[in-house]
Amino acid sequence: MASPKKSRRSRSLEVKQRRMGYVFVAPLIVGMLVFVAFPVIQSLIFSFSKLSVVASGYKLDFLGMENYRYIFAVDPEFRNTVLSSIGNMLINVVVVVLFSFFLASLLNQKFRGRSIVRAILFLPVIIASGVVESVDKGDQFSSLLSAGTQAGGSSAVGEQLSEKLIEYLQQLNIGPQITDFVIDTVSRVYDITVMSAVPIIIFLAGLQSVSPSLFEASYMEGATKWEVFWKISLPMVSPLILVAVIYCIIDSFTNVSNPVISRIHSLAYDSLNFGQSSAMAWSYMLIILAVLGIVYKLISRYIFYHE
Amino acid sequence: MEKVGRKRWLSPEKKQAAARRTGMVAWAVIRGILLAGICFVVLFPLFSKISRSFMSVEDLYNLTVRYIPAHFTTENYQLMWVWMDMPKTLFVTLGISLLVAFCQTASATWVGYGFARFKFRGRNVLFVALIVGMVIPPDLMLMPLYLIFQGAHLIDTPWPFVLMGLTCTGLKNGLYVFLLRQYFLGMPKELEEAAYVDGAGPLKAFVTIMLPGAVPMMVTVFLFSCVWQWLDSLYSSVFFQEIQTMTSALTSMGHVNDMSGMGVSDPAAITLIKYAGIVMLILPMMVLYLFCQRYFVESIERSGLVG
Repeated sequence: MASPKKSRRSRSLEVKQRRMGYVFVAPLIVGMLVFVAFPVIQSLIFSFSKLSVVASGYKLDFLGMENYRYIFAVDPEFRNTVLSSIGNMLINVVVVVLFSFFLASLLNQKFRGRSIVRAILFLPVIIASGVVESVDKGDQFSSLLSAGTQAGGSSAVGEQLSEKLIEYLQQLNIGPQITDFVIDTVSRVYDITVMSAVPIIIFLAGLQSVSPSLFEASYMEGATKWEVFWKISLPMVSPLILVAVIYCIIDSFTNVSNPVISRIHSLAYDSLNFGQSSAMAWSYMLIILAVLGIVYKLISRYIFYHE
Repeated sequence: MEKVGRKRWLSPEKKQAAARRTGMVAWAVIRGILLAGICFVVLFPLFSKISRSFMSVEDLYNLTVRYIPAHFTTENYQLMWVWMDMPKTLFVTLGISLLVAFCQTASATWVGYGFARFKFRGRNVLFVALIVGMVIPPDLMLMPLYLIFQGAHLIDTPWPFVLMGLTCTGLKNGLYVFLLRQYFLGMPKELEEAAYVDGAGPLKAFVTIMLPGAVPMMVTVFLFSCVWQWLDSLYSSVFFQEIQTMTSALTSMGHVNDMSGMGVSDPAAITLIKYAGIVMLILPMMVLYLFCQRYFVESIERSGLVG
């Protein structure tokens, strides 16, 4: 008897919810249409044509699939660089996410000098930005300098470390695969620390917004630190693990120093071959999206939401 | 004899407490070493940049000088100050960065909340579009975006940044929306439901209940967005043709490689001046970080109210 009334009320709530939802995402819808969809469609048209700059602006000659055929069938480098950047990404993301979560939990503990350490670990966001690196590396004199003194180069620390480590591991005589993996990881120490800066802050903000009463309650019930980590910290921060993973993947693919991205950039602005550059960017984007889709599906299963 | 006897009769609780204390000390030591090592990896390249920025040219050619400048000078900074047209460029860059950070944080919080809490048709499609927007290589969009803003006569005004920031399509804006969406999803729904029962509308519930708890996340987003805008050379080089920012001044120096107008023609001297420029670029953002960090720490107590 009461059911029609109830369903009407829940429907009106649903309508209200939907309307409020649109109010909240309206800015994004506008932005997507004007500043994303339009440029992207335009570049899709570029990717099927040959763009030449003329006096009145630019001129497009339709080429069909020619640009795409060239990238995949003729270009000797494109496929290899994409494959190697996928491989790189997989290793980096796993190590970076584990490392940064570990560090964020460390930084969330109370100890003296905590705020200084936090500030230092944030530095790479600034230092390792494209501009600073490009000024540092683009300058021939400075790269000469760092080769001589082993000081300015960013990976110098990692290299020195790994040399020592290689000797040590060879003496230990464990399996070559393990040795290789460890050496590989260590020689990336600087890169990994740099890439971890953003995830660390994401995790830290997440850990800090977990209500302290949850921890207190579980300690009162006699939970150990280990249990609290697995049962409270990890699930509460898990939505942000997804963000960090997605961020790492995107960052590793679209970073200015990524070889594919620099290829796309130089094709467009050095060779002025906008058509091929757009085609390359489009194929690359679709590949990244496929990777992201798979990872998103895999991780979403393990995430805890209040629902 | 007596000592041994006493030890044997230590109560089990006391033994446990002692074990825990040694464990904590050991942990503190390990943690200290680990963090010190990581800080070293981050600080070392920065340290060498700072020390170079105070060197004079003779020091570069002097092989015995490595880290401590023998001829300490601030001339590099003075020259960089003039080259960058300093107080003006600083205010322009800072103004645009803060403005963009404000727009992006506001829009990302608003839209992120919409994604997290309301069900509406097309939500998943829009969310996928947001993620796709993060993946698009910026090179793909630059040309079409420039054409849009040029058509609207908005080049060399802050409007391209403001418009893109307010519509969540600015630099790395997708990440911010994603971050806040994940944060709001992780918050218990009961909080707002209680507010609804008390007669508050969705808007009031959002502002009074959810926003206070989201402050650490919003500060994080503000910080990222400000820093990335500050360091951006891609968008600002396209949307600002006449206006000079810190990064464009620094990168243009790499291109021109000629400061003969200021009486400097030695490439070594230019390299040193560049290091001074890097330090000048990094410093304001460090100050901003230290300022924002206070909010991270404060939020511990504040977030106790939520959850």
